[in-house]
Amino acid sequence: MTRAGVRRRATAWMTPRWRDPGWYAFVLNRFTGLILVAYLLAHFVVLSRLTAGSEGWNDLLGLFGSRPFLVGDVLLVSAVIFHGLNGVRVILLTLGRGTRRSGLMFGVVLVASAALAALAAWGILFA
Amino acid sequence: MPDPTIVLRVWRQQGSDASNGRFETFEVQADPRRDSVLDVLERTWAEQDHTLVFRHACHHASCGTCTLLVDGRERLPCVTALHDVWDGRSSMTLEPLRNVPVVADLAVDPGVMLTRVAGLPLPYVRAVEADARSASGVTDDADVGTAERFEDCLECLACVSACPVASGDPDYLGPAVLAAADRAIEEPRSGDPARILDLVNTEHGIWQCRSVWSCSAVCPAGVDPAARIMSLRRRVWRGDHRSGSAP
Amino acid sequence: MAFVSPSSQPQALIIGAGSTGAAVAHDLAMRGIGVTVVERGEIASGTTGRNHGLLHSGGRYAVRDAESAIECRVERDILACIAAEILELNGGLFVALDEEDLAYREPFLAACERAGIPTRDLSAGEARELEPALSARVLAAVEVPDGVFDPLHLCLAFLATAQANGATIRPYAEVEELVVAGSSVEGAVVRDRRTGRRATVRADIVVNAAGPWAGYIAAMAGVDVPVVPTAGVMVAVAGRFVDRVINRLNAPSDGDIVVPQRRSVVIGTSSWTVDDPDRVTIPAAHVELMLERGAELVPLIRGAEGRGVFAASRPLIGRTADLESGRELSRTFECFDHSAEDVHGFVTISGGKTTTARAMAEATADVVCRHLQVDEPGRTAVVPLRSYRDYYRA
Repeated sequence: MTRAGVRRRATAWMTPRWRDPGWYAFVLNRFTGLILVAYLLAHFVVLSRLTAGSEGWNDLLGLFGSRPFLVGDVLLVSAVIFHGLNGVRVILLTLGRGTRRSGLMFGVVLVASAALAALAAWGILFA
Repeated sequence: MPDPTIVLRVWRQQGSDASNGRFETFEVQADPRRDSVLDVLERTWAEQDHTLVFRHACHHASCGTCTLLVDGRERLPCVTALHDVWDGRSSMTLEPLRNVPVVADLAVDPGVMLTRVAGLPLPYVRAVEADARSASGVTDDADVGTAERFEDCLECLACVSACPVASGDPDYLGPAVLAAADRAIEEPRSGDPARILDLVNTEHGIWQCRSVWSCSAVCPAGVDPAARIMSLRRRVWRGDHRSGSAP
Repeated sequence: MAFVSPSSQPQALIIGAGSTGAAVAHDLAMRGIGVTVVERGEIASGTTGRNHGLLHSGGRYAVRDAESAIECRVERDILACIAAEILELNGGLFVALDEEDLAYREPFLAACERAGIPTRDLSAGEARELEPALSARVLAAVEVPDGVFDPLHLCLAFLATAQANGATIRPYAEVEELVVAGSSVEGAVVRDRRTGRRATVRADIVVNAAGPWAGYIAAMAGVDVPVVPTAGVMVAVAGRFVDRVINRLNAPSDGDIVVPQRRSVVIGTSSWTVDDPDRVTIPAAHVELMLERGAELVPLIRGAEGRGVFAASRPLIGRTADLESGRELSRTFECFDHSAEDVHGFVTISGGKTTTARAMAEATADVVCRHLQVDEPGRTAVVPLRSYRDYYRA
C-alpha cells in the first residue's frame, strides 16, 4: 500500500481532476474500453448458445430485438464511437500532432461522438 | 477598507504517515490585488502557527520547491495570484503533492524523482534557442550567439503529482524524468543519447504513459512532458541512436 | 584530509542553511570536521533563496568599494570553475541612458581596470545588437563578466559536497535553545518540525549563520549581535527579454539591475529596515519604482505579466567599532568570536553576498579550525562542487 512513504491506491486514477480535459478523456476511454471488453465476453457467451439448437437461438434473438436491448445497443455503439474517435486523437498525439491542443481535440471528439451516436440511436430505435 | 479574510484549509500531518493527517482551518487576512497564495500561507505561518511545515525558497518560480495542490490542482503558489484562484468568498484548500513522499504537512521529499534524473544525466544549463528573441516578443531577427540559460524544468514535480499512472505504479519513471531524457537526447552535451534512450525505453518508462496529458496541463514552466514522451517513442520507432548505427 | 577517528573528530553545529551556512558546511567538512547543519525550513528558504541571483563581476562596487569589487571578481572566477554546471555565464552590461550615466563611464572603466575586472566598451548599436530588448535611449554600454545563478541550487551543491564528506544536513530542524554550560556553548536543543520531537545536538563549536535571525540565535547564548534586518524588494515579470544581466551605469541605487531568471526577468532592489524578517510588508511605492526603473532599461518590462513580488532581509550588522567581539575579516562580512565576551564555542558570521559566500566561509572556517586546533588549510577554491542532485542521494 505504501512504498517509499507514498500512499498509492489502485483506484487513485479515478480521483476527479475538475477542468482537466485530459483526465476526462482518460477516464472515459477506460470506461468505454471496459464496456467493450464486457460486451466481447457477453458476445462469446451468447454465441455459445448456438450449440443449444435453433429454437433456443431464435428466442434469444427475439429478446435482443426488444426495446430495452435496443437501448443497450445504442449505449454500446456510443461507447464504440467514442472509444474509436478518442483513440484516433491519442494516435495523433502520439505522432506529435496537435500536442498543444489536446484539450480542444477532446472537445472535437466529444461533439463528433455525440453527433454520430445520435445518428446511430435514430437508426437503431426508429428506423 | 480592511483586507478581506480568507478561510484556508491546510493539510496537516506529522511526519510521513498520512493516516494521522487532517485538515486544519485558518482565517487569514488577504489582499487579493497583491497577494500570491504563498504570501497568504506565509502570513498564516508567521502570525498564527509557526509549526506549519512547507517548502519555499525563491518566490518567483525558479526553484520549484513550493509546489502544492491548491483546491485540488497542482500550482506554484509563489506565482499564483490570489485573485486568479479565489472568488472572494469560498475557502481555499492547500494539500501536498500526490505521488511523492510527504515529509510533513505540505512539504514533500523530491529525492526519489530527482535521483532518477541524476542518473540520466541531464545538464542544468542549455543553449538558448535560436528563435528565443522572437518567442519572447523582443524582435524577429536577433542572433543569440552562444548564450546559455537554465533548463525550463524546475523539477517542481507538479507533473508527477498530476499523473494517474504515477499514482498506480511506483516504478513509473514519470513525466519529469522522461521529459528530461528527451531534452538530454535533443541536446546531448556530455551525455550518451543511446544509453539514455535505453534507460527510458522500458515497460516502466515511456511505454507506461497512457496519454492522459495532465502533466503538460499543469506544468508551470512550459516543458510539455507529454509531447516529449511521445517524442521519445518516435525516436525508438525510427531507430535513432541504436548502437551500431552511424553517429 | 587529516584522518580523525570518529570519537575524536571535532564537531561543528551550523545554524542556518543559506549560502553562508552551506558554504561553511562545505569548507569545514572538507577539512575533516564533523558537521551538522540545522535549518528551520527548506534549504535556502531564508534570505538566500530570494536573492537576485546575480553573480557579481564586481563592476557594481568598483568605483566606491574597491575591496568588494576585487573580492567579487576573484570569487566569480572561482565559482565559474567549481560550480560551472549551474551557472549562466552570459556576461552583463552596464548601460548608459543619459548624460549623467555617460559621465560615470570614465571613473567606472578606470575603477574596473584597477580591480582587474575585464571590460569591453560598446557603442549603443553594439549593445542593442547583443541585447535588442534594451531601450532605444541607450547611449553606450560596458560589458563585464557578470553571471546568473539560482540560489537554491548553489546551496544544494555546497551541501551535496559537504554531505559527501560526511556532513549531516537537517532541514526542518529549528533551534529552540542553545545548550550553555558555564561560559561555553556546547550544542543546541533542536526541534524536528516534521515530528515535533526535540533532541540535543552536541558540538565543540556552534556557528551562527542564521542571517537576519542571527541576533535571535545569539540572544540564546546571552550575547548581543545587533542585526538590522534590511529588506529589499524584487519584482519578477514574465518574459526572458535579455540573456545578460543589465545594470544601470551609475552609482549603485534602487532598481538599477535586471537579471534574467529562467523565462522571467527580475528587477531589484531597494532598501528599508524591518523589525521582524518573518513579517515583511512590501511598500507599493517600491514595487512601482522597480517597474519604472526596470522599464527604463528594458521597455518591454512595462507591459509584461507580473510573476511575483517578494522581499528578503539582508542581515546588516552594526559597525565593529561599536562592538567588542566583532572582528572584521574583511570589510564585506564580519565574524564575531564571542569568546571575547566570555562565551566560548560560539561564533556568529554575517553580512556578505552569495557571490562571495565561499570566501566568507573560508575565513570563518579558519577561525573555527583555530578554535578546534585543527591544522587544515582551506581548499574550496580549487575543488569542484558535486552536482546539486547528489544532495538527494543520501
